Amino acid sequence: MSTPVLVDANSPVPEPQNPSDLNVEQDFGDTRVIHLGGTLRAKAAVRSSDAGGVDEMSVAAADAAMKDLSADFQNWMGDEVNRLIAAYENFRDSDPGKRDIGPLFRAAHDIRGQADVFGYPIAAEIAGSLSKLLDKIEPDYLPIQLIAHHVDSVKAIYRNNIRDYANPVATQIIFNLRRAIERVIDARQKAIQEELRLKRAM
Amino acid sequence: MFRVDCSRLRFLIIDDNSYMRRIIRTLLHGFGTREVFEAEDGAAGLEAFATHLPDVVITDWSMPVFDGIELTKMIRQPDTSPNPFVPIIMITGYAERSRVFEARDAGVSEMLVKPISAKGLYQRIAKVVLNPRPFIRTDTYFGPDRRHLVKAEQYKARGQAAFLNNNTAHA
Repeated sequence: MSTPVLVDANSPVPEPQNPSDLNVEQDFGDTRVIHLGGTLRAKAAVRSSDAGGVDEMSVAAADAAMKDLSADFQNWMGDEVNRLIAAYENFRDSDPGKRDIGPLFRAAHDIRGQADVFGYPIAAEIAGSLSKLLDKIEPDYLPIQLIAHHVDSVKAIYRNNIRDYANPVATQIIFNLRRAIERVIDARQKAIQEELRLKRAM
Repeated sequence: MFRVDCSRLRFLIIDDNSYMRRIIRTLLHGFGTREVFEAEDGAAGLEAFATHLPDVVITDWSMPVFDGIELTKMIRQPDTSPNPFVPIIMITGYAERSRVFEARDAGVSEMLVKPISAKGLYQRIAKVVLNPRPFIRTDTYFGPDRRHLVKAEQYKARGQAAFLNNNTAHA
């Protein structure tokens, strides 16, 4: 039987405590250091015997949930590849000077980040190269043909269901595209430096 | 040793890619989380942040119009944000050093480079819940201490008096 709690009917109801009130602040002149009061820790930390504080059961449960989800990954990858193709075609067909790099970059960047999870690591790597190219070169100086090679390669890898590095053609494609991008970036940087040098000389 | 009971935490996922949101949501549910909210861009994310008051924010970097860096800077406004101390985990494809520094300077608590894994996400959550870094407020920055190697205990060991003594000695 639980012990009854006596409550004074006239006593004020305590105000809920603002989490930031629990913080401890130190003033170092122009810098203030704020030690968090540990409200989140108090809310969610529980004792565990797992080494390193990693809840192995939770991680295993999440991995199992991902495995259930993976039946959809091939279709999702197809959607992402189609988005990349559409963004590329839109970029290619826009008037030079009015080209918006955003949708193409985000489509490539998303494949770079997700294709590995979807089971297409080579496509992720090629999309990563394309992201790098789009990130380093101004839209008006981007070589359309090289972008097309990347998009076609990602498309081919998806359609031929190439999922590992054992495929020699795929690894050769990665190597060639990477080398082409390095050349383009290098050439553009040299051109920028030359422009700066000429401006200073004038 | 402690672990995190994710069922007690409320999460907000902000990512323009619906598949990525689904993956993160699946992982969080796998950890036992029940309360997961989603937003598909930074502006909607900021509104959801004020409405749902999550314990942890998980955001993408690259989003149209209002990206994860701008979102983080808005959340870290100490005078206007509903919770400027909220842990922000940024999930991104960017692994370059300059990008990591940019995220750190915006006030991001932890970064997780894609491809995402259950263990990687759990570790970041555990870090922000169990070992949060102290916050720093200066005229130009508000956010988690950017000097990762300086532990909270070291700050506690240093007192204001010691700091003043040292400075007076140099004066």
